[in-house]
Amino acid sequence: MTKFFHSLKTKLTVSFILLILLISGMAYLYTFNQTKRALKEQMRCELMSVASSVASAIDGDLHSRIGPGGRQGPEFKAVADLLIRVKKNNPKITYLYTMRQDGQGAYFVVDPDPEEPAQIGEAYEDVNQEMLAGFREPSADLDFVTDKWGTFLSGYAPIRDSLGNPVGLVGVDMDSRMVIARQEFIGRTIYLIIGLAVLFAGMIILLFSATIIRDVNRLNSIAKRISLGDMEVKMDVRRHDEIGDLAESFGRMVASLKIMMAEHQENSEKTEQGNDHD
Amino acid sequence: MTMTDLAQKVLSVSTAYLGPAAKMFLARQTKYHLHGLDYDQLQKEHLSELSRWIFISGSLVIEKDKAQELSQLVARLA
Repeated sequence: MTKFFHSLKTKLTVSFILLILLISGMAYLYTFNQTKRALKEQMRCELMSVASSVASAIDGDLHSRIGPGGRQGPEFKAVADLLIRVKKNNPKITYLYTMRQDGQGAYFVVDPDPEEPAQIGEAYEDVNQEMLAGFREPSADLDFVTDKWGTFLSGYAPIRDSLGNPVGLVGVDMDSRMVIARQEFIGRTIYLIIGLAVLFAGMIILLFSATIIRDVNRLNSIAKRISLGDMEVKMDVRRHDEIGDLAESFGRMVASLKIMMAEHQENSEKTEQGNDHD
Repeated sequence: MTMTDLAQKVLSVSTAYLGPAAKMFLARQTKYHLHGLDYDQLQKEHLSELSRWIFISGSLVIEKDKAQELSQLVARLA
């Protein structure tokens, strides 16, 4: 076991895999964050676009006539029907409503939600800068906003009367879970791709280090045999890299040893023969 | 006595295959197979025979294909 941990193959493979994991981990974090940001930005644009097209379809003069207690009136019904139709055609939308500004605050005008509708004139308590900006021009929340209805990413666009004056806004809410689900899907896809790449790279590294170690082991075994006096070794390492160079140097060394040993043996025999004659 | 240019070239090529004992190897080949020729006096007319013996004797100390490669390189020096 100790030999396994100290072997060059283990060290090479582990260090390469750690390096790949480090690089891919950093790439994952960077890519995922960028993608999350881009996705949120795309959602904001989509929300602003839907809010703008709905706002342009609402008659601002008609909207201005909706007052407290006007829930049964034809003006309310006309706007509510339009909002219901748009929501039906856009399943991504969670809530679609209109509002009017009141100083630095805002209150609901038309909320066609069938379950828990806001009443006409009901003040919205979590007004932010993006919503106030939505009374003048299309805007969207920079981040998720949590209120009593849940956590949403919202887009806003102004409703204008026949003179072009802003008289309210259209708000479009998208449930944060939908945005997060899309972000997580992309995250999982990136994770899967990086995981497969690491696996593939790991296999290549394993194969690569295995061939290097195989040839190093061969050279090691040849050196051992030579050190024990076996000169009939076969230098069967053929590579065009540094290990190949090492094998060639080794081959030269063995050849020289063989030549010198043969010369030495011949000289010894001659000397012995000379001694015998004497 | 100084070595001929050709002997120097053959030695240089052979050292890459046989290492520091190349001179010893070449001197043995000329001594035993080229009628006792002193290696330092190697001339062009000796190359063909020397190349043949480099292959034969070289195969005993290095791989056969390497010996053939060396033999051919030496023959080309002619």
